[in-house]
Amino acid sequence: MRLPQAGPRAQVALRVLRTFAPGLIVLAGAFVAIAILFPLSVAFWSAGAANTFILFLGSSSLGLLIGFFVGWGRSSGIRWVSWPLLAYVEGFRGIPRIVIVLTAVVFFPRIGLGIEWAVLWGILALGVSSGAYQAEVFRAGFQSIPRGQIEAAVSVGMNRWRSMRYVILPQVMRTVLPPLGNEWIVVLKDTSLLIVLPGFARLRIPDVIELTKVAQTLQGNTFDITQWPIIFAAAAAVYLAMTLLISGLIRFAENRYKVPGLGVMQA
Amino acid sequence: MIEVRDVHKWFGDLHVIKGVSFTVEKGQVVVIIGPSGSGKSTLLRCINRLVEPDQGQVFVDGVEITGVRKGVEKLRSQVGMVFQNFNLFTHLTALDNVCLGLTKVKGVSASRARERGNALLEKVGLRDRAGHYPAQLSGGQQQRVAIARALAMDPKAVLFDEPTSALDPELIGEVLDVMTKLALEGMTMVVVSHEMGFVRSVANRVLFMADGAVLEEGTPEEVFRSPKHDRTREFTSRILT
Amino acid sequence: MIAAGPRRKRLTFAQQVVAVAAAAGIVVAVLAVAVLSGALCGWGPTACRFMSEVAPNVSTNLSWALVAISVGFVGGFFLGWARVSRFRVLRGISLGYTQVIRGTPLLIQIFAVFYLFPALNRFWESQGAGFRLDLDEVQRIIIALVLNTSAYQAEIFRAGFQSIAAGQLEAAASIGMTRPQAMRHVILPQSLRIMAPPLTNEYIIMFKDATPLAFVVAVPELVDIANRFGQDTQTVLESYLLTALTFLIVSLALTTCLRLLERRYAVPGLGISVRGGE
Repeated sequence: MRLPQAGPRAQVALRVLRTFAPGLIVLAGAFVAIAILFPLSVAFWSAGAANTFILFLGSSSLGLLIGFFVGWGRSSGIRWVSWPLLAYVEGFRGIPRIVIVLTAVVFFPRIGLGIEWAVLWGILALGVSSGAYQAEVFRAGFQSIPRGQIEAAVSVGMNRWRSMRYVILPQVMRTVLPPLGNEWIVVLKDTSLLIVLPGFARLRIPDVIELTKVAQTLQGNTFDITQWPIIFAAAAAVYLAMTLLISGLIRFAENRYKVPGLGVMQA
Repeated sequence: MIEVRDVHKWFGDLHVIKGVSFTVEKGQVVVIIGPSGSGKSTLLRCINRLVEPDQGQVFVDGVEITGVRKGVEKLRSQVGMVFQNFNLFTHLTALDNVCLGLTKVKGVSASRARERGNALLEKVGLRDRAGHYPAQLSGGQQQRVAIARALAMDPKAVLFDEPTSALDPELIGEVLDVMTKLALEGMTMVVVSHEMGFVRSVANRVLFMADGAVLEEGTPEEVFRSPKHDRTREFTSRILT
Repeated sequence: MIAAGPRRKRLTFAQQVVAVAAAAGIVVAVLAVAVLSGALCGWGPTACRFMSEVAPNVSTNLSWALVAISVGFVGGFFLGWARVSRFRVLRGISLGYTQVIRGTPLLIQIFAVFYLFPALNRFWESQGAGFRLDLDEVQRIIIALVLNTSAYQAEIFRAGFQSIAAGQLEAAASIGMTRPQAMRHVILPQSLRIMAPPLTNEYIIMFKDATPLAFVVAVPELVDIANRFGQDTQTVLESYLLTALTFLIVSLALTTCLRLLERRYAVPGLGISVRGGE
């Protein structure tokens, strides 16, 4: 796109536009198509998309919190901390996420979280599962910081806490953001697994209306079988839009931590 | 043996080689020197058509290789090349690196290829490293294997593109020794290099290249002691302490 | 808590295997204790029944993953090749396809493919075309899996193709090789070795994360069968836990085997981090 050289403010605005344009276009296109093909369900779809986003935020944040501390612990030299955490990480990484969600569905009622807590079951299941993957990313990130950085920080007079905040963490962020971003996108897509949360077996209004359940409900209520693939294609488009938009946000976050001349750590 | 006639090359709008002509007699060692960006490496690659000249002709042993449409590969095996970054095939041992051309391009039997390969590795002093992978060899050793690989094809001439520029100082000597030995055996060589000691002692002729053209040509003494152009004088004074 | 003492050595490969085995062992031990102490009711005999009747169905998942990965290998190769092609159209198609697949949930893809074929049949019927394509549910699942893994393998191939330094091609040309020869003897052997770890990773992911989704469309594989078993015997939670355990054990075993294979074919210095301390 050849434009006359714009000032710095305008250049930032342009970059923002270019990053988010594809996602917004796909989103708009998807909703236009839905409005035309299934006009009565637009509100339903919107609710589904919004819920998906909320579930994504909750789960990935929980996973981030868990992952940070577990990863930190794993990167320490202390074996009685590191090895149990290894069990958690390897355990949850070796189990299919859908099995974890299914287990949550039967487990939580038994410990008193009834069906009205279904959303929480979902967030806990995805969050704890994602935490294992994010922990690995953080572990690698912490371990990639050269010893000399801590030595230098200490020699300038910083205590443990300060050196963590001003020296270690910024560098860890740079390394850790791309793979974390990838995992967050995976979590976004895995909110579709929450379709198995209660309401699935009954065709009444389900408790957890995320996007995939919206599509499935609509499919159940649509008589014409030739429309079914189209419904799911529309759902795919909405997911794609969300993926593009959130990836764009992550890329902006990555850019803030990039250092000229230094590549990002290759996984 | 090698004749370059009025070769031009453009990369987009950039005129990288501006009408270069020179000849290399059989058994001669010609060294091309000059500042970076002067087109030396590109010129070298025109000789074995790794880069296609846009204009002009190149002759190897009387045959015009720029005129050939199909079968360039056959001609390439007549002229060997040694690269600045060695470019050894990382998935093969030293011996296999040397033999690959023999078995796959020349169709030589595996056992005869191995014989020849071992003999060549012996020649560059690396017979005992035949089973090692490039990652297990030092830079100097890798480059010597690369020379053996080039020699395996029985070339009429060998091109060297800054063969020692990527080496640690203490490893340069072993590579230059092999190159000197090769020159003394009568191999036709075209070398791009900054190693002035080598140039002084081994080169028959020196070409000074700047901005895509050959500014100066002559024996090492002529070019270093009494250059005709100021540019040459500038360059040589800077690298000859 | 960054190690303050001498820089902690990375665990050797053997140590890692032991660590992981120990972790699995702990899980098994905890479950065993739970069974023996009767904490999970109705366990013992049901657990045995589960392990002998239901657990072996994991082979279904394994074989689906194998088929999907193999066909996806071919698909991924061509998609990856197109991605680095000289022609913009090919690059665009490849990029578009991979973006869509990687940007949408596999579950949605499964739904879409699953209902696509019946929908097509109905459509052709309504148009009087007399043309039908009857695929059973397993075939449809595998098609969805293949479409998915092709996109991910395309990325692996793309990285593989691009990572071989240009100098290798130059060197091959300088000894007189043609482009196909260079491809076959120089580029491909190196590419394949570089691609081996991500490819084995993809297989494990396919097995562990992709095949269980067939449960949602009620196609029989381990999770689906375990679910029904649990409903029949009133031991849903236990069944799910045992399913999790089965997956865990199999994926750990798989990972270990594949890593061992990688080490066997690894070439020192060729992209693969040879585990076990450099």
